[in-house]
Amino acid sequence: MREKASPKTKIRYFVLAIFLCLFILCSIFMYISSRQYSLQGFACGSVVNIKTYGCINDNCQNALDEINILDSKYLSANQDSSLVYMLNAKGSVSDETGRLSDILNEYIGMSKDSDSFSLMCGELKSLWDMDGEGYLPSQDEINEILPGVNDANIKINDTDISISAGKMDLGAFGKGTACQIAIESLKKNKVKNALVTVGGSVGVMGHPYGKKIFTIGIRDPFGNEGSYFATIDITDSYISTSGDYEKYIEIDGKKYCHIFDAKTGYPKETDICSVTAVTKDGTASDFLSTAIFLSEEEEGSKLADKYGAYFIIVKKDRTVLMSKELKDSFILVDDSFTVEYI
Amino acid sequence: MRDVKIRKMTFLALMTASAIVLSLLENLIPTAAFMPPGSKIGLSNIIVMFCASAMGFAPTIFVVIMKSVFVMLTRGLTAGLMSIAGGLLSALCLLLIFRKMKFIGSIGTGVISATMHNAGQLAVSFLMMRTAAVLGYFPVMLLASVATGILTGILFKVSEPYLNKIDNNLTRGIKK
Amino acid sequence: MRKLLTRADIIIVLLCISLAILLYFFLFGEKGNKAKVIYMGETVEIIDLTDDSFYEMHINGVHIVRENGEIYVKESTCPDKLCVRAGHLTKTGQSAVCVPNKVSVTIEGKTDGPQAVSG
Repeated sequence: MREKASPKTKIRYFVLAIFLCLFILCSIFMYISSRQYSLQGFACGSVVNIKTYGCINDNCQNALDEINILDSKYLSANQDSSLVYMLNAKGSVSDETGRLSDILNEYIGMSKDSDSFSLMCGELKSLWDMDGEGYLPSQDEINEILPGVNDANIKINDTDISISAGKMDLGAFGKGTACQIAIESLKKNKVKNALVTVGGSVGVMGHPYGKKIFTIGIRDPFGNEGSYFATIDITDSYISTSGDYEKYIEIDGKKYCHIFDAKTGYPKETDICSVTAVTKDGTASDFLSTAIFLSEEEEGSKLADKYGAYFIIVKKDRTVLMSKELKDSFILVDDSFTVEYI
Repeated sequence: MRDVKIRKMTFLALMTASAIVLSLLENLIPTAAFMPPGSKIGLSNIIVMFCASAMGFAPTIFVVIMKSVFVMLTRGLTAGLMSIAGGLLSALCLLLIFRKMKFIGSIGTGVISATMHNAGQLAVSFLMMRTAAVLGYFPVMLLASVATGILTGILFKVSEPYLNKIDNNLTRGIKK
Repeated sequence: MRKLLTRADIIIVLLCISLAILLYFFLFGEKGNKAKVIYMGETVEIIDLTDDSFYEMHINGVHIVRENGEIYVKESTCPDKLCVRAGHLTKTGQSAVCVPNKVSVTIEGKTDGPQAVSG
């Protein structure tokens, strides 16, 4: 064997040192990407799940706190600490932060896109006793409160908000907005990959460990909670689903779902079982899942286009209507459903 | 002086060609079901081991890179990347062993070399596919590396004297 | 020239083998919650392993049984019976394959399902 001159040996050590550094860096990288944090809570009347991937610190609590603040202090119609509750109770409320005005302005803007939709369905909910046994009101009783079921009753003047009739219920938006502020809170904390679920609304960012993209299941409206008939591969989006299986009352053998048509005051009767809306804005995804449920096919499709959103509609006869843009990411798991793309 | 240099280059070329031929031959042997994707018995590794023991840093790296280029040209970019990652990692370890760690025998050298080669390949496939499933191959990979490493180690010990003879004849003109 | 086998070599080999065993348990420790039955490359059935009740199915000469949350191939018409010899499957990743009959049973865990369900 030949003896090597000193400089060559130095180069060799140098290369080995670099390799060692690379190895250490790779190990650190792999360790960090495998870190996962998970937190479960309760807000907006549903279970909240927050998961982060590939972040050394646990930022889930901050995100959950943001959701709780949004729910308990601003949007909840049931908690007496909430501004909306006070608004319903007293008829007017003042919000120094201006946050509620901003949110309501956004909601009202969206609501305008659907005639059958309103922020003021609170009284309908109580009249029909949606949270209880259920009650079939007479046409007169409906007519009496119908004028209150109108967004025009909301007056926003800078930080002062008042309603002249009816009761506000933001349930159709809340979960989507909650997902969004959670994701935004996580983003602020430098989290790159996360999954947030608030009831039926899901927000995803980045990718989970060991996969390139998130896989989100689409609820089987004929099955139990957690069951899904298909999945979509998606990221950096919000997915919300509204359906007649979520909350309903049964009177004389007939089912009435919790999604009201603001024009008639009656729960919407349709051949649609559930609507899933996929879009880049959390609030919009929740709104659209309800608004499309309330619309006819043509109308619903146009509405989705307006928001740059994609949708999956499941009908009572197990046919599925969905945006053709979802075709590549959609995987049907249960073939008792037939899929049509539009 | 020039004469020796040409002889050295010739020998290097011979080694490179042998490595490539051996890797080609290996591909003809079907991948056994229990081995991780794309991993082979590593016969060409014997050449790399010899280069590391008798020819020094630069020639060894040269052979490895040439082999990987060939793999890239014939089996595709992914295979080429995996070959270079595994090959370089393995070669560097071999160089280290042959210079500093004289207490490791041929079998141990073969095992370390095979393990490092396969580890490098797995690392590349993980980075490219990002599926945790790839990491699941680690245990099997280790066992396969031990088996193939022992084999290549023995083969190396057997062929070393012959290779040395060719090397001496070519580069030093010493006739035995 | 170096020796063929030294003390160091034996240590290295033993180390690799033990690392392999350790990693095996570390990575494959999860008890799978469903089993996928694949025939001719197509998924024929997904059997729930969280259910302890007895369940059996026949596919192309392969008799598959689920019992006590475990799944195994009870009988097969193939000559080698490697699939039967694979025994009771419980952990994610474990599988019993019958090549002649083109049937395979693989255990899959939660990691394979969606991360969340909307709705």
